[in-house]
Amino acid sequence: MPPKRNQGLKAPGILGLAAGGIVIAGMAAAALLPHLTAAAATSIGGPFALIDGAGQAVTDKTYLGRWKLIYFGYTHCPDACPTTLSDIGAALDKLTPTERKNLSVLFITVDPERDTPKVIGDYAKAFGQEFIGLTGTQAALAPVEQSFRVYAQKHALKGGDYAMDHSSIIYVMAPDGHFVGLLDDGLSPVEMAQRLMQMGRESKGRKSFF
Amino acid sequence: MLRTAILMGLMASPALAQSPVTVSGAWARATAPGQTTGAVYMSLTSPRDDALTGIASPQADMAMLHKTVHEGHMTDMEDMDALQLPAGKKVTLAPHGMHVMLMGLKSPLKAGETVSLDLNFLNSGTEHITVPVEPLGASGPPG
Repeated sequence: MPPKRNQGLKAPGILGLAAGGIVIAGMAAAALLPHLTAAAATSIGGPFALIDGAGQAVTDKTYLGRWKLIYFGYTHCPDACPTTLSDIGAALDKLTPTERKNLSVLFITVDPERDTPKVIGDYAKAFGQEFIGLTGTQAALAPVEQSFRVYAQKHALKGGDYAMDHSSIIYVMAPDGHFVGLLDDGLSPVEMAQRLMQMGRESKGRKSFF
Repeated sequence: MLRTAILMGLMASPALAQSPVTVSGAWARATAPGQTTGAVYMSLTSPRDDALTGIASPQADMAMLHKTVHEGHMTDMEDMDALQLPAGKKVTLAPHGMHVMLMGLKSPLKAGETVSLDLNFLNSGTEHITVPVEPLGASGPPG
């Protein structure tokens, strides 16, 4: 069973609020995820150990040094996932090649039962060269979903098939692995590109590709 | 009066009278490798109160009307039994909202190809449409 929505969030101490930029990112994130406080939102993300499309074991360390857009979904998703991934692809098209060079889009499945490494890998690649599909066992995915406050739940469809209800939001992570902010999946590609460039400018002191 | 108008329409243009619902801007997004579900989007305008009650496609095991519902930042898919079409009102199925979900695609949807759909209406019988498949990165109908 996929994990339920994480409701046991604890706000870290006041020290966690020290860095101004992080607080702003946290507040923006809190506005998008109403069940999170600004402080809790700054602790989004964490270590993971998953499998990529080539069947290789990867961890969060694999992508250190790169900006990351992380989106959770599944390949049987007819509307929300391909629409969001298409919009991300179109947003990346608005960046310069230099800006894109140091960026990866991680599409992490919430449906490991059907999304084998090859399935999720081939699927993600179709949206662009920056797109990487990741899967794993339910046991490997559960802590990742938890650290990103992702909700995922199986939902039976007519005819015996199933869909996944899931959080649909794009996480932006800095090259050092820190959470920078969220992109609403309803943003247009132009708005997404603008927000990305803004986040790049705001994350002073971090390796930035913008 | 209305009945007379419909009757006259029927005599003048049988096809139109049988299928008075106008379908515009229909498109499907190409599927990514391994993706066995697809989505079709379109706008429907009926000259009289009607409802879209069923969809079938020879290219999929099942076609059904779905709605992606956003609550906060959760996305759920809801089955819709019928889509109400109030007279004269354009009802639009678009990404991140209502869509025709194609389940169990018999072959991938490729850009440049088409999808055949039969739309069953409560008051207007069945209308056959052919929908263009747009590239994977598309977010709207062609043009």
